[in-house]
Amino acid sequence: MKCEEMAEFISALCDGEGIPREAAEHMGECEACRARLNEYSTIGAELRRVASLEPMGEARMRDWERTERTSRNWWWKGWETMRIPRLVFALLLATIVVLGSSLAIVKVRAHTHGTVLMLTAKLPDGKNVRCSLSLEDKKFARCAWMALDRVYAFRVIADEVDHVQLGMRIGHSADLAGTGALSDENVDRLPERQYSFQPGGKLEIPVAGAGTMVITGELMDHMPSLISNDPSEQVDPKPDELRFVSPVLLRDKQVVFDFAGATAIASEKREVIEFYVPETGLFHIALSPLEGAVQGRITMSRISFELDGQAYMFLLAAPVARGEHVWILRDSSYKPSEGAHQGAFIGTSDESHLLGKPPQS
Amino acid sequence: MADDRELWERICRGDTTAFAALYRTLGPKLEVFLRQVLGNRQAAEDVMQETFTQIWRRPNAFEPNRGTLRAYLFGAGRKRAAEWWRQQGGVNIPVRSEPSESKTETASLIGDAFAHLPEEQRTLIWLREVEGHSYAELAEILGIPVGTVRSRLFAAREELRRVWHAVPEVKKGDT
Repeated sequence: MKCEEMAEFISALCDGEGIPREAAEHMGECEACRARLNEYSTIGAELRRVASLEPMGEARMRDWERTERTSRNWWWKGWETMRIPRLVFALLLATIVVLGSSLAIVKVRAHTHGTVLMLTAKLPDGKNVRCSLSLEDKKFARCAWMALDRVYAFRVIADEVDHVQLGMRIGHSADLAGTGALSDENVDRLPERQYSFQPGGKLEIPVAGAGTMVITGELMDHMPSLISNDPSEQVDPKPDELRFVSPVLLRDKQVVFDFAGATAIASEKREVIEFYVPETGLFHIALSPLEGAVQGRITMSRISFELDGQAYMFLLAAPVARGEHVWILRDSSYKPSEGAHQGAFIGTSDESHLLGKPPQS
Repeated sequence: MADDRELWERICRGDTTAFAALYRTLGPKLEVFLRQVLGNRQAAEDVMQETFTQIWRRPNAFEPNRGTLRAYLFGAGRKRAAEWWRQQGGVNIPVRSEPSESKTETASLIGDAFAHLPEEQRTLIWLREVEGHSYAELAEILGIPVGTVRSRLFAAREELRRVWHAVPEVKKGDT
């Protein structure tokens, strides 16, 4: 073994790590390597000595009782006293928007604190997806979604001084077939590639068999009130826009499914929102009547409707639409095709997909 | 200090006495570490205070199963420091070594050499050599694989060794 190959083992040895037998034998015979070990040890010892000379006073007294905490009390106090902001505050929880006419599945994480890397991924088919990644809190440092037949997942690996180390996974949705939702555990089964991303810069990532995905992004000091492709997005929906922000579906006052943090916006003509829950069916929600659909009434951020004698309600975290009604069509026989993602999803699709489907029974 | 999990449960329940104890014990150590990373005494204190405030406000971000409380705290402080660096334009300013009569020549030279390392290498060496964090803890703090910790530590030591041997020239260039 050569001395250059030994150097890393010497460093490991300094840290109390084991080294291979061959390296240990070389150490016994090589003066230069033993000298290097001594130098590394001296460096460590002297640094500890320097540290001991560093002035270390007592931490300034703080009154933690009076330091505001994010708690239920704070939440309710804020909620009661906010002027505009009940909605804005609720919207802080939304982290990702998928826009487009193709079926999309969104999984999001939301938080309202700290540094945020807002990424925009331009997919090979030209559709944009945005997601926000916390640089401070690992729980919120990931996002994943499905578009067409592919799964995309980002995560923050490290926040360096001038760049962010990103881990990126791209795979076929069939790879996650039968595994339920886009859980971290499932997504982590896909192979990951690491990229160094400089906020304000651009990354081009090849997507096998589809083209190139272009990633751009910027740092923000807070979570924006609404994340969409349009930077001028307002809290109030635009005319002809249907928004589902953090939807919860209730049936007879019981929670059927909670898409906490997920958002879907139908803004194109003939675009509808799709909301699928296994065993319950696929709901199509539209601003204009659909054949066989029931009418739902919008009250504040709720949509109430009846199906098969049961009372349903969508609870949303933001205004749904400018009108007072939506139309809901349920396909209770719907099942994702074999090999596709089998779990719950929310997204948008073109109304023309409904043509030829039997009316809801 | 009590067991991490028990201490953390108390903090999550809003026990100010438990949090004050954590602050008293680890606050000064974190501040000294941040001084090495930031090269600015006032900034180090500010970042240390911000780190504790952030943790007090959002204690749920710590997961006892994933590592020690100490590693979590230093990781949070290090992230705050990275944010501070970014706000300064990301320029790596050498840490100014405080003159001290009681330092030996070797210590002084190593201190000077250390001050000339890039921020990332200063962070890594300090956390390992002075704070004694394990490879696993360093991986958690820095968000890198354990294998990378080993190779980066080696690179940092080599760089420190190289600068240490060249310190007289560096000093000459500074004057």
